Amino acid sequence: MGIVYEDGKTPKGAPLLIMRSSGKIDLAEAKTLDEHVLPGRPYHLQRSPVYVATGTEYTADARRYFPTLNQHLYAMATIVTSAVVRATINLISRVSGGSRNFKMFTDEASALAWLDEVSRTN
Amino acid sequence: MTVTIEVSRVEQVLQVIVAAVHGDYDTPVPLEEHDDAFLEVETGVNFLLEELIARRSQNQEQQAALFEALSTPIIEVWPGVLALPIIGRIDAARAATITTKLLEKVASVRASHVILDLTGVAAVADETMPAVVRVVRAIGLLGATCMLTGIGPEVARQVVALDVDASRVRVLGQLSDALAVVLTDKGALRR
Repeated sequence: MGIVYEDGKTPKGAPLLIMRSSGKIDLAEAKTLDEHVLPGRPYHLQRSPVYVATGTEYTADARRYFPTLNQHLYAMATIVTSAVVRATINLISRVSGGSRNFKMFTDEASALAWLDEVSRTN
Repeated sequence: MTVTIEVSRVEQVLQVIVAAVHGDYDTPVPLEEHDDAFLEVETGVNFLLEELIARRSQNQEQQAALFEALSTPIIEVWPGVLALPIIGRIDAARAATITTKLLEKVASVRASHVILDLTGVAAVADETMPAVVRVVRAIGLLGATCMLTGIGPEVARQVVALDVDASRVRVLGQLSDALAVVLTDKGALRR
């Protein structure tokens, strides 16, 4: 439970930081992302598909922390099938003012295709 | 966009809001897999509740810190002379805090006199005077003279009844009386 990180590639071969989230994500768990994406880290400004399992919850401080890391990724595609989790992530994005390099999907193929095509805008 | 919502879901949100208005933030809106825009409203209400809980907790911590700071306002009114105006009720926990901070200060400035002013103690609870006396005794062990001011005859009798070493505590009417004693002891004022 928490966030599991893996290497991967898009269909067109771009490197990916794959994240799989489940269970309760608190601030300490959220901050494990620092090791991967902050400047100087191996996945800084890379693309990332994020698979969020049904039932995943975020503590209030984790919800505030995640959006601050968007600037350190080229683009983030979140794959969510749960309506409750989607509503949560929508609100996180809304509260933080949104980001054009972030998008939610219900299927993996669309998410990976978007990560191949998206231009970094912010 | 038109969204059709079951009345029961709206009722649940309203109940949670009513409870929150009355200070109960612990009952969130139950979330189910309804794939509609209202789910985001329900989720948002729960976010708000969590923020309210976090802020209540922060306020309580700040109040506790402020209370502790205000509960022991030790003033060095003259070199080696400390005054502590005590306001409100003194229970065992507060007496322990006062004792610790006062003894640290007595030792650090090598105080010769300590004035505990009880003018602001509105009511003397059963446990208050024994607590004050414990503070006085601790100060005496460090060699300082302790003076109690701002207390009436009844409280003075309580002090006597508690068998306090009279050589280590003096009971005076007002803070100014205690300052006069200090000045006399230090030879700055003739009796």
